[in-house]
Amino acid sequence: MLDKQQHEENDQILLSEEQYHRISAELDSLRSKINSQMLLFGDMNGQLISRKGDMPGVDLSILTALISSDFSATSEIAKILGKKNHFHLHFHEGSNRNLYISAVVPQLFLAVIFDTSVTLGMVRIFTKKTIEKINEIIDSGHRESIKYGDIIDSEFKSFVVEGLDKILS
Amino acid sequence: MLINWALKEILLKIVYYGPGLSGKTTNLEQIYRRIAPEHRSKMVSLKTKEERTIFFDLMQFRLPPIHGKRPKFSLYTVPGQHYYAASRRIILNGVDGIVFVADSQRNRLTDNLASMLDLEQNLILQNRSLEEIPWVLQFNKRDLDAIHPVEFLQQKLNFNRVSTFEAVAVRGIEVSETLKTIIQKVITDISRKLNA
Repeated sequence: MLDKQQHEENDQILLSEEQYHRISAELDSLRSKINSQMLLFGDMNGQLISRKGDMPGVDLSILTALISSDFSATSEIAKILGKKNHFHLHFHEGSNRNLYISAVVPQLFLAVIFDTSVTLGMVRIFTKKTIEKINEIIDSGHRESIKYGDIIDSEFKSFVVEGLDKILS
Repeated sequence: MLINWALKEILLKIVYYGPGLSGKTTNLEQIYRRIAPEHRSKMVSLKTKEERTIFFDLMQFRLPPIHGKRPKFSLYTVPGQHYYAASRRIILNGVDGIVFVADSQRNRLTDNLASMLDLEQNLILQNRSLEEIPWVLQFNKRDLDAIHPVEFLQQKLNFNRVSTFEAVAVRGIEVSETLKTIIQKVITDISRKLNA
């Protein structure tokens, strides 16, 4: 679910478990249609929400953070160039793999990594359709369905402190 | 903050801010060394050829699950030099907590103040402010000779009376304590917001 009316840039989006699973199913469907190596669904602050596929030896959390920074930097370029709207998609062409990144809403992006045997046109068409479906899922949420206390309760902070003491030597 | 309900992950973003060469990257390098590899990512540094941060440094780490919930933290630094203002704005997007790393040396007071002002202005662009966001202040380089007394730095920089640390980041002194405190403040803040 999400707390927004117009998907404004600074609005917070909170996906419910049900929405997460519906989005995950859409990503599975997209991946099978375009035979992509990897799909990354993340937020513009650099956090990975869902991934499909695998790239051995690649830290996907870091990759997501770098993709979101790339997107944000390009959006800043758009602002400097006087564009009212951000660039909605980026395409990076490599010798073996290509990277296609598209904004879902201003806060979320979908990145598709595919090899050069797959045509860009096909990736664009199917990704666009998937993004429309993800938007419908995001719009269908209801704030009331989320119980915040279930995630961060009174004990949580003390366990975090304990956890930090354990991992920080 | 991002909550991934399906994976029960709580993802939080901490940004190390401050003037150029105050020790932001050094803080991250020390944290990176102190956390076992199984709990952390690699550290990514986007640097110039002179080893100065051009965009950001980034590392992520996660805590052992807490009743099935999995807290995960992203630590970023900003480039301190004044002409990287746009990069700093980008990195501050969605920030949950800030560590301001001040350089204690006498000749850096103006730089500290300029960076603090820059931070405040960038937060205002996000409709936020230093009065409401969790942040802590680290007085770094306390081992050097030509430094201001802590009381003086408190008076000049700590308008909000936040927690302060007397650090020597290059030797790891007060680095972990700074991180632990900002994380506690962020969790308190988020808990208050979510349960309001």
